[in-house]
Amino acid sequence: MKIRPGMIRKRAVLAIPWLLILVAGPLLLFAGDDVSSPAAAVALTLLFAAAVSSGFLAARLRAAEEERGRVAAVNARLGQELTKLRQAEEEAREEIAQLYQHNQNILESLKTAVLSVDPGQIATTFNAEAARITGLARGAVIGKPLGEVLALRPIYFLLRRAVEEGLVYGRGEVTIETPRGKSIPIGISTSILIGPEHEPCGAVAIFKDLSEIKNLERKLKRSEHLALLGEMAASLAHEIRNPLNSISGFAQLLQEKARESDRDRRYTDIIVRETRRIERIVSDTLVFSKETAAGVCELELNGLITACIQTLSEVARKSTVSFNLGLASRLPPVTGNASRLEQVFTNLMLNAIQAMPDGGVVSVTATATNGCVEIEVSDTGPGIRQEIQDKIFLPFFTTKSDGTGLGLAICSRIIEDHGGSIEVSSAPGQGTTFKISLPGQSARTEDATQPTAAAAAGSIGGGME
Amino acid sequence: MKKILVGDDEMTARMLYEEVLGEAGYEVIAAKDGREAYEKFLSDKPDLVILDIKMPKMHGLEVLERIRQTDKKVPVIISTAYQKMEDDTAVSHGDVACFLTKPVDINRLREEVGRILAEAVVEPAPGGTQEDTT
Repeated sequence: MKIRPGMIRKRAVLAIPWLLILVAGPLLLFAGDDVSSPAAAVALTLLFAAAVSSGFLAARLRAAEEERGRVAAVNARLGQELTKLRQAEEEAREEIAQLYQHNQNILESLKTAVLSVDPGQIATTFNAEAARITGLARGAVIGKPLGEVLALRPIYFLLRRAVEEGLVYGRGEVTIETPRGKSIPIGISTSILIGPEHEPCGAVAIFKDLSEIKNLERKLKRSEHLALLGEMAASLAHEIRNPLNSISGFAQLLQEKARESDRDRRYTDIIVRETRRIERIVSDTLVFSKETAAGVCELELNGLITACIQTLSEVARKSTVSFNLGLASRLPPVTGNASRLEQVFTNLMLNAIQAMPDGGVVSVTATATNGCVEIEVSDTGPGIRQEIQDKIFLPFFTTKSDGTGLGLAICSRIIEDHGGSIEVSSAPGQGTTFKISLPGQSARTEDATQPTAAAAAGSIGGGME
Repeated sequence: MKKILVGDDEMTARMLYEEVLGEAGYEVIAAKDGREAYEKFLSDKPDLVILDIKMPKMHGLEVLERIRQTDKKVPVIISTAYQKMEDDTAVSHGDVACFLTKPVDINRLREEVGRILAEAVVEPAPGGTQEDTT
């Protein structure tokens, strides 16, 4: 048993009456029967004092005991309170953690990008969508001075204005460039972050990728233009063909009447030939401005390509051009307009033949890639100069003396109407290759029924960039 | 002599048909608008009708429709500056013998007219006279 200092004091105090009695005892013996002796008086006084002190002490001790009991009760209550407080604190901590996690979840699952900075322009928030749009890893942004992240410079300037000048944007539009060099238009709004004491404590930008919207807008604009062009072309064609009918008709009559050797015959020949050329321009413009009714039927492209080659075999033979075929045996079927696609293949092959007046080889290949069918038409001709490669798909651009300049524009239009793409690659002296990509039927079905699978396929095929 | 009715609002187009078809030995009746074409069809009873589409007073296709209400047999050629009327579902192929897109090749015009009239002669028309009387 441990002995506390308080216990020693308590025992010492309790010993006082006993000490008084111990001293009074011998004095009584010494006084004997003489009760009036001084010794007897001292002894009696001591005994009295012992009695008094023991009573007093006992009372004091009881009071102290009671006091101690009360203190212990209070202590116990305080202890309980403390435990309760600690539990409450723990719960509050958990709640804060949950709230934080909840906020993070909201931020992360938002289909809107969020980027915030502190007053020193250090990035503090950069959610998943922000990372997806910008192509930047979160670690490359959070905790960094925003001005140093090159790809985010346009956003940095807006946030700096918010922090420094209090200038915020409700609906701005800027273009950022991803680390891979892709330009992305984004719609952005900024606001100032206010702290608990109503003091500004940074700024936040929320933004969205506008690429898809811009793309749709472009397509809509294009189809509006084409619709307008179509209407105009149809009216114009009608107005041109009526007088052309008379010119060409009477010229044909004159041509018949003039003798083969006559000068008049040469002139009328020219008029008739040129009226036919005007008619070709008018017809091509109409074809170009007319939307193809795609998805007409399921097509087997190999058969279509082979038929085109057969049509052109005589022209090719005259120019000593040979065909080299590489058609994959199992191509996915393509939904489309047979006569329009035939027009495209024939046009490309004819261009290839015409590019090699002294002979050469036209290679035609068809392969299946990522659910698409890719058709390549290559020649061994002189190639197309880099500076005009961008222009060859523009309407009325031609390098041929008698061309309408609409052939490739029509090809491009038809392929786009089929949801495909056409591109050219060429170098002087190394021939020219036109590559067409058309969506196969399976790819279209996936698009419609399994968006997730289609999206995954798109990313595998590099469709994201 | 076979009679051919030409309905076209372009004066030079009418001249051209008169010249080409007249030289080929046909009698050409010209009408400068749709209504005149229909009236001349009723009065002159041509063996063949050549119609433009876009004409004042009565649209070429309306003229065709009215002709067909009284005569199911007379061959009609549609000659127009519009692109490929064959694709136009509004025109039933049974009602039209042939489509000629302007500018017209005069050789083709002669060939088609000759062929259509020859076929009309060869083809027996049992209901033709009955319809004419109604």
